[in-house]
Amino acid sequence: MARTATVQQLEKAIDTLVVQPRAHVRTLSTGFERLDALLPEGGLPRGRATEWIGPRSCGKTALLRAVLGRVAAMGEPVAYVDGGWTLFAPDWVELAERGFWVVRPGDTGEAAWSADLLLRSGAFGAVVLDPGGSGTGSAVNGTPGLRRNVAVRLQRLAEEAESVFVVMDEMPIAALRLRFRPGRIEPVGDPLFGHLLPPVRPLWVGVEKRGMTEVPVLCPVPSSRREVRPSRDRKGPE
Amino acid sequence: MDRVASIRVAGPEVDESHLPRLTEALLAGSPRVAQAGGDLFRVDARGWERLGGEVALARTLHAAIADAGFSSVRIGIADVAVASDAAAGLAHEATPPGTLIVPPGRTREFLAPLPLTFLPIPDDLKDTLRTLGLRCLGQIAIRERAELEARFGPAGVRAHRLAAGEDDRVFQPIVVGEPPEASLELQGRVDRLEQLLFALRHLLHRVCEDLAADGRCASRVLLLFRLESGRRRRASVVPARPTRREELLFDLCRAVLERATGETGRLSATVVEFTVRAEQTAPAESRQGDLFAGEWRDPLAAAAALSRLQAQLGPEGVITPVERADHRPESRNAWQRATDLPDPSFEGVDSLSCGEPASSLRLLRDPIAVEVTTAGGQLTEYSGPLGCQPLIAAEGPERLSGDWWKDPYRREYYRACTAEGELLWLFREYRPSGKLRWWLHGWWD
Repeated sequence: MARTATVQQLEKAIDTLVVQPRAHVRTLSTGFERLDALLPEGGLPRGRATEWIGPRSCGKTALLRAVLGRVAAMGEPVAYVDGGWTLFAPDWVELAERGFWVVRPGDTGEAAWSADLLLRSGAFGAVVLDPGGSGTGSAVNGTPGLRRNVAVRLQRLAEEAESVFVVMDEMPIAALRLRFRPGRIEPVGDPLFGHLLPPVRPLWVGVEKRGMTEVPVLCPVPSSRREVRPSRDRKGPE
Repeated sequence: MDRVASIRVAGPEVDESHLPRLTEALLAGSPRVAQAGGDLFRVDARGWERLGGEVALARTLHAAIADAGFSSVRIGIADVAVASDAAAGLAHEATPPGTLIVPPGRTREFLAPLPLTFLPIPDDLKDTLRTLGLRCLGQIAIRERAELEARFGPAGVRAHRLAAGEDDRVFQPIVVGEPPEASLELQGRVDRLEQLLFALRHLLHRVCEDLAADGRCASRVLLLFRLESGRRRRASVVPARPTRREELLFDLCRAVLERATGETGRLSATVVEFTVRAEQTAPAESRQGDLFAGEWRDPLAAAAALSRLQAQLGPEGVITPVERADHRPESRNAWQRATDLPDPSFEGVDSLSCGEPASSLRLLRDPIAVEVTTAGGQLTEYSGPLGCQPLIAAEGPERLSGDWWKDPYRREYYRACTAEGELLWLFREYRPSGKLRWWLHGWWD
């Protein structure tokens, strides 16, 4: 009993810890001027946790991949803890040529432990912790969010490693919170096919207390859409 | 001042089997011998001042290599490897032919008129430099280093350094002989995990010391057990990158032993002899960090972290994506174990141009059965794990079928957009029974 009480006491003490901001924060440009202008230091902070949450299909993974590509292009290895096992390999092959690894843990606990180990090594320019809900947040996907003591430890490690640390879940002490929401999709009318996806759709990125901006994201339309048209006698699904 | 002799050996094609003979011949000239790839070798050329100078060194090397059965040899001697390699390449034009010595302190002048082919940098960078009108090393060396750094990043800095005769590549001596190993005869009944770990730490320490002495790292470690019955058992450990970090190798070996002993913590037989052998080795990486480059990351630390994860999560726990041509999406979703990878290049490159980001597919491990309503050939409504939603747009079908000889499939894929903006990848499957069924295979994000 005494041991349990001590552990609880320690956990409370950890909860009161506040991560002190550093005098100078190195940042990573996202590659999108309007988004950089919205971010507090003009880019994603290195050495701090960034919360990255939005509903399914809003385009947050597309933007994340573009940002990770920039890290890899600078010669820094990138690690992605894919708790949901949902990354699609062909989309990430280009990054692999520059040093990109995916870690597939068995559960949320192992996901946090994996991120701990990756950050502790100090060898990765960017570490993504995607515990399993693909960035929809614990409230939506029902997975347990990161506990505060775990979050504090990861934040400390990210600071020591000066890595871009993205958490695709609620992060109790995140220095930066990015919220994504899908923009309105305007289907393209086609006399033969009906309503089709537009080539580009908007993604809205919000930074806590600083407003929102729009980033265009390419839709997954088949490249052969205009070239290959079915014959008139082919029936659609019934 | 350093002096390096580069030796290009012709005659029979040089392969691993020739290494002992060639190394012995090269040792006639210097106690430090290194293979720089293929038929190119380097030896430390210092210390010949009282033995007749570098001309005598070249003569000695020529004679020793000829005695070893290699007829054609070209030798270049210079202050740094980039110049001595180039001199060896040009030695056939020297007088007398076969040896070209670049006087000390004249490296930059020697390199200046040489074409870019003598620069050990990637071919695509050479092509780009040629496109910019830079044809010889001197034209690169007179440029501002910052200018090349701004345009090409660390690769540009490296090109400038080499063109200016600054070569900091480390001498990697050749190791010929038995792989490092350490062995222990065990007394009494040894079958418990703790006993083996105690012995393992001691043996690994000795193996790592030998590796360090040879300037090598282990890329594969064998654990060999001789059992009381006389039978032998073996297990191998393959780190993600060659390493001689004792703690890392210990963690990896411990994971193997833990699997072997299982929950009981005991082997099924008593071990009487335990051997650890660095079965495959590779030259130690000696990548130099940069005090002022904040982005520099230690590849060995990355390797250590990935290896530990792999030991804990299993071989499929640390993976990297690969290209695979296949029609079936789940087959195209191909990953390979990190250990199968070649060494990644950690050289910096140009920043990627940042256009519009493309939607990224999230593929479900197991497709989820859903209901889809259609009307007039169009998909109108989707009912899945997150409830029922109207579909405002849909593209398809993309018809996929095949593998009739082993696992036939016939699917029609649709890219559908819900009223809430979800971009879903749905497919309709034709079952052999004639029934149709809709599945959610993933979504774009």
